Amino acid sequence: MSRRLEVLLRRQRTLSWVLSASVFAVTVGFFALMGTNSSVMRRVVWGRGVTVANVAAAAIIVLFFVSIAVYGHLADRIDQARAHSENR
Amino acid sequence: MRSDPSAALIFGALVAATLVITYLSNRRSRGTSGFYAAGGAISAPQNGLAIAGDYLSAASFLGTVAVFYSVGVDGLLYVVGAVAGWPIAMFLVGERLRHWGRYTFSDALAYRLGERPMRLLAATSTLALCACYLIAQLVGAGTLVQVLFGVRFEYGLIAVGVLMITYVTFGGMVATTWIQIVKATLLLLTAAAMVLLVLYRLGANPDDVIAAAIAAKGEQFMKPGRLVSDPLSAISLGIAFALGPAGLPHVLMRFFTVKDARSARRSLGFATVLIGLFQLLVILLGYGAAGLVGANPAGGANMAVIHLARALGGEALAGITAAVAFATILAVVSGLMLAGASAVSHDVYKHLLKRGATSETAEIRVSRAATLVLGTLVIGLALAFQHENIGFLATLPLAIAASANFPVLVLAMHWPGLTTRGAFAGGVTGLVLSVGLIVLSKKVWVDVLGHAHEVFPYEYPTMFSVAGAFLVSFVGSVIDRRPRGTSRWGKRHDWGPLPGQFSPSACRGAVAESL
Repeated sequence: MSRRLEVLLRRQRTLSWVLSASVFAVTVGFFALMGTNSSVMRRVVWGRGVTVANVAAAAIIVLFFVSIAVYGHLADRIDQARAHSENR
Repeated sequence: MRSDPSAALIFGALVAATLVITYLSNRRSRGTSGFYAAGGAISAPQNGLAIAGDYLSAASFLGTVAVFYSVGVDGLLYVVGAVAGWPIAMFLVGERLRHWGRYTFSDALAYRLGERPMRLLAATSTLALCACYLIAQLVGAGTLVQVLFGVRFEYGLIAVGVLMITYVTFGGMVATTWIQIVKATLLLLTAAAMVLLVLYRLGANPDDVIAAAIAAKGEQFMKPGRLVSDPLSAISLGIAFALGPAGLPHVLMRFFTVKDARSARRSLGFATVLIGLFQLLVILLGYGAAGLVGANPAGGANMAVIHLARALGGEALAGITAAVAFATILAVVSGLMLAGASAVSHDVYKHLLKRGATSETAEIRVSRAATLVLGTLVIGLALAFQHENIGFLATLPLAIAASANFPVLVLAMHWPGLTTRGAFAGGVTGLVLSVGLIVLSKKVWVDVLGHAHEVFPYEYPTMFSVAGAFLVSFVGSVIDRRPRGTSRWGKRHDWGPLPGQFSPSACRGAVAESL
């Protein structure tokens, strides 16, 4: 196994746990704030009815997209490095 | 209330199309590999659509809109929750499961740990979970047919039951996958079209849609805390959504329908994006339903999306939407039924009873018989739960998956110290706690079983059952003094194949040997 592949694999392991923990924390945090009827969530931030809760929900989903893009990018680099290593 | 003939026509066309798919798939579904895993011949984008199809069930379409319609902004919990589990499944489970397994997730556990205890555990949790999930889907199907055609709830149930048994018995994974792909595409297109119509009717600005909902339902509509009133139940629900998808057996089976781990990862990426986009559409559908559908709709809140379609596009759109919702249910129940049947035939019959010494023909025959028995059983259970909210019913399997399957799978894949005894004890703890506490909670103990007071004060058990499963797995492994020579952890902790060691082919050979 090449040194570069080893580094990438280690980075992927760390990233997978960091991203998983972040997704988990954001989700549970959102549920906790909604469950406690937090005043923050009820605040209108746009127009007549768009509250923080609505904006947060949409933002969290976009954040999830970003997280899988970041992870996917690293995983693709690992695939390339692995293919390169096998070819050699 | 009866629908016009166009709805019946659309229904008929859709059912006919799925039966044609089943017939065509039957020829390609040869052998156990074809029956359980479609021969690994599904591409990543197709599998992403199929995973999204598996997850975007009646709960996502009918149930989440119903929650928005009934309790307002709390519907956002279901929207965020529906997406949350997929990144975690991708980061922690997807690739390694594809490397280690063959047809079901129990293959992966059996490869890493002791085979018989792991298969027993996985089969039990799969059957409990599929039964719960099937009840939710069948309740939705029965209500839908009742509302649209004015027939009795029981007849709707039996019709769906017969169709799902037909799909699985004759088409296996190939038919189930293609039905999922067709259904997911139809569902996304229908939801997008309905959202455009909502925006056209109420104003292009999403704020106008929310304002219409507030005007119809009052200011209370935008106050959270009406779906789950206590913080612990809310957190438990969040945990179920975040960890549950990575433990759903019918979704995990889909990782084996693609050719390699990279395709499994890409499938999960596609699925996450599709599910996320659909949930963003559901937010507007939910507020649109609150603004446009009057009080006490026929069929209850679960049918709010059908009434929204009628308000937007008359009987024709209502018919199309109902047909798509019906297809959604048919597709999901087929996937669940296949997972349940394979737990019986592949894990219980082949590996536990026959110790691997059986033919492919006999295994598939048992799978078909199991489909029939399981189908009959869940139809009976759906009758008992017909008045429950579909969204609530569909979260219960997530709670079981997060408690019984996720801790064992993640520890098996990431902690070399996990032993068979620890994993078995942890899995049983998660399963017993999740099912037991659900039964003792108000929704079942009081509302279904008729007792005066609930025993377990929270609505969802996940906070306790997941923590219990992890703790018992850990302690059970640490105090397990048996020699660990059977563990196949090896020295590698990375995610993919390496030259000469643990490559997919080598791994597959080892698994095949162990089977």
